[in-house]
Amino acid sequence: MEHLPVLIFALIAALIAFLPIAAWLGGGITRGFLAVLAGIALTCLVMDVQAGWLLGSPSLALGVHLDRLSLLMTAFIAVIGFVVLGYADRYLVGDPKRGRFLSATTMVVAAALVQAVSPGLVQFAAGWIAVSLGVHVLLRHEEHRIGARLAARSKFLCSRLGDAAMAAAIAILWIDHGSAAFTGSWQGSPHGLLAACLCIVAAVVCKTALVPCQHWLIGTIEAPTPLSALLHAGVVNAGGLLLARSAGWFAGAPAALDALIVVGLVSAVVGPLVMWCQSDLKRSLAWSTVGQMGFMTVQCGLGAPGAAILHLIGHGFYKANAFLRSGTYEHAIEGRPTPEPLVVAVLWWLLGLAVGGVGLALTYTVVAGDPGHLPGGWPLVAIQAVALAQVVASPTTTTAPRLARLALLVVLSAGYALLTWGAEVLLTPALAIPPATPVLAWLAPVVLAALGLFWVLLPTLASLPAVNALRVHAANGFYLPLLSERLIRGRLLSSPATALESP
Amino acid sequence: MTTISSIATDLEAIVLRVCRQVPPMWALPDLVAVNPYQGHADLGLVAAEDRLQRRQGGRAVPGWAILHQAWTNGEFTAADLVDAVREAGPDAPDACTTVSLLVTAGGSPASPRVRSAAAVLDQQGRDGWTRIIAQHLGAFLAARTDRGISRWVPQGSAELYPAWRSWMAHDRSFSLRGLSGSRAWVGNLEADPAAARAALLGRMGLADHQREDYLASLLGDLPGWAGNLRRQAWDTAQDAVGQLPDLLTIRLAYDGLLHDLHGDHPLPVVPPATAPAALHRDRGARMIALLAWEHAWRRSIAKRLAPVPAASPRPAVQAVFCIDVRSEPFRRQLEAVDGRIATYGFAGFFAMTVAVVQGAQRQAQCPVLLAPAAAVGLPAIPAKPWSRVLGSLRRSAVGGFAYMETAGLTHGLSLLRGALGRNGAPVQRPQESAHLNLGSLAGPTRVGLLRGLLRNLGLGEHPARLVLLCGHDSTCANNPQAAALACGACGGHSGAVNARLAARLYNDPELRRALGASAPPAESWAVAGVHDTATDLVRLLDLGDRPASHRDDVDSLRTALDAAGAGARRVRAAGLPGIAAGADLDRNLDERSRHWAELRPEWGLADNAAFIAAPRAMTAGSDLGGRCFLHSYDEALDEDGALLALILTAPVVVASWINLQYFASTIDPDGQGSGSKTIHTVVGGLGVATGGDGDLRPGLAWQSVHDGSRLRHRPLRLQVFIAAQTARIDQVVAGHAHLRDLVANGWIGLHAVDPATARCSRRLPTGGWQPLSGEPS
Repeated sequence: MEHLPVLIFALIAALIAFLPIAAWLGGGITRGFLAVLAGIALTCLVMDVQAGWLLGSPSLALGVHLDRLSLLMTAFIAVIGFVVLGYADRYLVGDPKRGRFLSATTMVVAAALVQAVSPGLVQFAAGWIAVSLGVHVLLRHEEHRIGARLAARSKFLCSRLGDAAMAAAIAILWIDHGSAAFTGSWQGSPHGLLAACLCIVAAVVCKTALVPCQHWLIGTIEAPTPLSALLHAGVVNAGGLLLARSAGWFAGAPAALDALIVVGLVSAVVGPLVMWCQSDLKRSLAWSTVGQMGFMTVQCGLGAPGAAILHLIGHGFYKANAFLRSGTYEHAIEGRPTPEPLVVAVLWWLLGLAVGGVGLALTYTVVAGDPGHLPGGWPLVAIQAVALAQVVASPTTTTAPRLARLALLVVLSAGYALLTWGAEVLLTPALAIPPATPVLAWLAPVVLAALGLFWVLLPTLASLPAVNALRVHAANGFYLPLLSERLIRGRLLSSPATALESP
Repeated sequence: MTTISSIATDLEAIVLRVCRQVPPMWALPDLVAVNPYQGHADLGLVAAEDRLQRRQGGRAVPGWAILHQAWTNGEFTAADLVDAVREAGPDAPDACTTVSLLVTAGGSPASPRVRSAAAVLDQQGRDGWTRIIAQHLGAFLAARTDRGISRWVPQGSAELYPAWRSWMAHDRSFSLRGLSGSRAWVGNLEADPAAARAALLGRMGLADHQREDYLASLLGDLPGWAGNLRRQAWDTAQDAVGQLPDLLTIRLAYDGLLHDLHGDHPLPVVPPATAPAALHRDRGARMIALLAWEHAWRRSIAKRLAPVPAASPRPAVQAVFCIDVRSEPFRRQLEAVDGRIATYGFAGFFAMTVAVVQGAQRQAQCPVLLAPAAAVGLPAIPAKPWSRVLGSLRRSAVGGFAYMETAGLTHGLSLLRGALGRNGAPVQRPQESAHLNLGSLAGPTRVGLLRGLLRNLGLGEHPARLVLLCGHDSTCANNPQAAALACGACGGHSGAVNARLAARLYNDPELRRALGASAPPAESWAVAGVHDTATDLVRLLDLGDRPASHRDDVDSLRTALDAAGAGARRVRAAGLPGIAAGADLDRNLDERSRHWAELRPEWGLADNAAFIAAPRAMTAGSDLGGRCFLHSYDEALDEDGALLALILTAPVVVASWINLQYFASTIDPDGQGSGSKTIHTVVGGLGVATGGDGDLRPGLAWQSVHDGSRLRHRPLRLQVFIAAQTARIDQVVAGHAHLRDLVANGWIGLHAVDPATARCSRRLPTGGWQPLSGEPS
C-alpha cells in the first residue's frame, strides 16, 4: 500500500519521459499509460487508499499525496486525456504539426496530474506553469493566424499574472506559516492567512478564466477542437481543485470567501448573458464555461468544495463531449419559444422554486439532517432550488406538458440533493469544510434568482428598448474582449502589426 | 441638376453590378457547390484573377507549386507545352520562359489590392480594423440570421440597414476603440440606404472609374455573409440581390466612420488598373502550363473513348446511377460482375423536381438551378419531449449549472463511447424507409414527372425487365459540411427520396395507362436504391412492394451489387489515409464513416476533371479513375435536340460549378476554400467560420482536397465531351448566355465526339472546331 504513491509518481514521470516519443507514436502508448493510471486511481478510490510520499522536506511538500480527492481528480484527468489524445490522433492526420500537438497535449495532461496529486502549493504552482507552457504551444498551433497569436499572448500574460499571485501566496505561506503543505492547521497570523487566501483567489481568477481574465479561454476557438475539450474540461478545473484543497485556510478567512462569492457571481452572470447572444457554436460553449466556472467559484465561496468538485466533473464531461461533437450542430438548434404572459411565466417559476426547494430540503433532511448544517447551508439549497425551477419555467418548444415537467422536477430535486450530499460524504475526509457561513452568502441566491427570472421572462421582455440595448452590449461580451485585446496590444502599438509575436 | 441625378443612377447601376458578382452561398443543410467565379464568368481566367486580386485576393490560375508538382510527376510533357504556347498566341510567354518558371516554382506576384479606409489603417500596423469590422458586422448579421444557436433573438427592423443603425445606436465598441462620437455619427447618417451610399461614397475622394473596384472590394471583405444574403434572394429570382445593397451601405459606413472619426482620416486607395509586365508574364506562363496539363488530360480521355458497336444484346437489368464522379468506379465494377447489367448515368434527382415536406421543414430535392414544382411528404420526426426539457434546462440561466451536476455526468458515457470507437446504432434514415406520402402530387403532375423521367433517362423504347434507379448519399459523422458529400443534384441531400418517387411513378399501373403507347412495357419493373459513397454499399429500397414475378431478378441484382461494392471498396481503400493493407474493409469503412474524429470519411468529388455525355458503350471498356461525370446520351434518340440543350445547360453547368469549387479550394485554400477543418466552428447553423473570424467560409476545407502529403484534387478545368454533332452543340451554346460565357472564356473545355468513330474535336475558345489527335503533335 505504501508503494502506491511511488507507483503513481513513476507512471506520471514515465508519461513526462515519453513526451518526445508520443509525437512519433501517435499517442497510442500515452493513451495506454493514461488508461492504466485511471484504472489504478479508480481502484484505489474504491479501496479508500490514503497515502503519501514526500520528496525532501515535508514543509516544501513535494511528492504524491493520495486521498479521495486526488484519486478522483487523477482518474478524471486521465480519462479526459485519454479521450482527447485519441481524438486528436485521428483528427490531425495529415497535419504537419500533429506530432507537436500530441506531445504538448501529453505535457498538459502530465502537468495536470502533477497538480492533482500535489501535497502542497509549490508543486501545484509548478504544475500550473508547465500546463500553461503546454497550452501556449497548443494555442499557437495555427500561428499564422493573428487570432491564434492574440489568444496565446493573452493566455501567456494571464498565466504570468496568476503565477505572480501564486508566488506571493507561497511567499506568505513560507514566511508566516512555515510550510507550503495543504494539510495542517494555520500557524501564522490572521492577516497573513487572509493575504495568502486573497492571492489564491487572484490566481484562480487568472487561471480559471473568470471575468475579467476570460479572454484567453474564448480564444481557444483559434486552435484545433481537441484543445478546446482539454482546456474546458481539464485545465480550467485546476482552480476548483486548488480552492477545494485550500478550503481549510479559507475557513479562517471569511473575507476571502466573500471575495470568492463576488468574483464568482460576476462570471456566473456575465457568462450566460454573453453566451445567449453568440451564434458561433464554439464561442457560445466557451462563454458558457466562463459562467460555469463562476458558479463553481461561488460554491467554493459558500464553503461547499465538495459540490464544486461534483460540478467540475459533470461540467468537464459535458463540455469535452460538446466540443468534440461540435461538428454535429443540429442538436444545438432549437426553434424559438412563443412568449408567455408575464404573470403566467412568473407563477410557474415561483411554483418550480417552491417545489424544487421543498424536494431538495426534504431529501437533505432525510439523508443528512438539517440542511442548514450541511456545507454551503441554506444559501446553497436556495441556489439549487433557483436552478431547478427552470425545469418547469424555462421557455421551450417542448410538447411535454407542464405537469410532467413538474414531476421531473421532483425527481431531479431528490437526485440533485443525493448527488451533492454524496459528493460531500465522499470527499469530506479529504477536505476541511469551512464551518462559518460567509457574510455575503445570501447575495448569491438573490443574484442568481434575478438572472433566472430574467431568462424566464426574456421572450416577453426582448422587445423592450432597454433589453434590446442590453443585448447589444451582451453580444459584444460587455466589451470585455475588446478591452483585453487593447490591453494586450497596448504594448505593441508602437511596433508594426507583423511584430505581433508572443514572447 | 441633371448631373447629380445621373451620378446617382450610375452609382445604383454599379451597386447592382457588384452585388450580382457575389456568388450565392447555401446554408449548411443544403450546402451545394457554387462556382466561386460565377460573377466573373464574363472574363477569362487571367482577367478574372486580376479582378479578384484587386478586389478581395484570390486566384483563378493555379500557382507554380501545384503546376511544378504536376510537371515533375510527368502529368504533362514538353510537347504539351509547345502545343499550349502555339495556342496561346504571339503575345503570350514562350515555352522557354514557361519552363524556367515551371522548374523554379517560385511565388507569383499579385495585382495590387484596392485598400479600404480600414485596410489603409491596417497597413500602418495599427489595430487590424478590417478584421475588427468583419467580426463586428459578422456578429450583427449572425444574430439576425441565426437558425437557433443564439438564445436571445434581437428585435429590430426586417431591413438590414435600419436594423444596423438601431444596433449601432447602442453599441459602444467603436467609441471604446477610440472613435468617440461613433453612435451619434451613425445616427446622423441618411435614413435611406441609397442616399446614404451616395453621400458616403462622395466623401471618399474617388474618381468615377475607381468606384466600382472600391465597392466590390468592400463586399470582398465579407464574401461569406454577402453570399448568404445573395442566397436569401435566390428564391425570388436568380439575379436578385436582395439585401446586398444594404450590406454595401453598412460596410461603406464603417469606412466613413474611420475616415471621419479616426485621427488619421484614412481614405481608400484604388491602384491603377494596369498590371506590371512581370505580373502579366507570370500569369500568361501559368496559364500555358495549365493548358498544357489539360491538353495531356483531354488526350488521355480521347484515347479511352471507343466507337459504339453496331448492336449490343438486350440487357436484363438497366441500372441508372447519378452522374456524380463517384458512380463511375462502381458502375464499372457492377458491369464486370454481371454482363447482363447495363448502366446509365443521369443527374441523381431523376428529373423529379420536387421538395420534401417533413413536419414543418421543407427542403428542395432538385438542383438549385431549378425550382421544385411539387412536394411529397415524409412523416415528421417524432419529437423527443424529455430531451427537449433537459436541453432547455441546460441552456437556461442557472438551470444550466444544475444540469452539469446531474445530467452532465451521463455525458461521460458518451465521451467514452466516442473514444472507444463505439459509434452506436446505425444511422436512422427516414428518407429511405419511412412511408413516402404522394398525397399532394396531383394526377397530371405525376404523369408529367413520369413522362420527363422516360424521355430524359435514355432507357430506350423498350426498357429492361428490371430497372434500378440508384441515388446516392454519404454516411459521415460530426461533419458540418456533410451536405457537400451528398447528392448535389438533390440539393445537397440524399437521393433516396427521388429514387423512391421515380420508382413508384414508374411502377404505377394507372400512370402507365395514362401514358398509353409511351408507357414502359408491362413486365418492366423499377426498384429504387441508394449508393452510400462512404461505404460503397447499395441499399435497395421499398422492397416490400416488389411483385412475386421479379423476386428472383431483384435477388440476383442484390448479389451483383454486393459483389460490386466489395470490389469498389478495395479500389477506394487504397486511396484513403490510415487504412492498413489487408484490413476488413466492410467493417473498417463502416467504422470510419461514423467515427467522430474522422475528417476524411471519403474523398467526395475530389479529382473530378471531365464530363462525358455519350452512350455508355463508348466508355464502358475504360478505367476513368473516378474522375468523370458520366451522362448517358444517345443523339439518335434526341431528334429535336431538346435533351442536348438540357444536358449542356443543366448538368454540365452544375458539374462545372462543382469542378470550379474544387479548383478554387485547391489553388487558394485559405481564401476561396474554407481553410483547415480543425478550427471550423458552426455559425448560426448557416455556415462554418474559421477560428474567431467574423465571416462565413465558402468552399471546401483543405482536408477535403489534400491528404497531408499531396493534393488529392488536381485543379483542371472541366473537360466536357459530348457525343453530338458540332453544329448542334454550337446552336445550344449560342442560345444560352451563361453557357456561352463558360465556354468562350475557358471556364470549361468543350469537345464533340463522333459516336461511330470515337474521333474528338475540340471547340476553340475563339469559336470553330479543331480535331483532337490521340498523340501530341
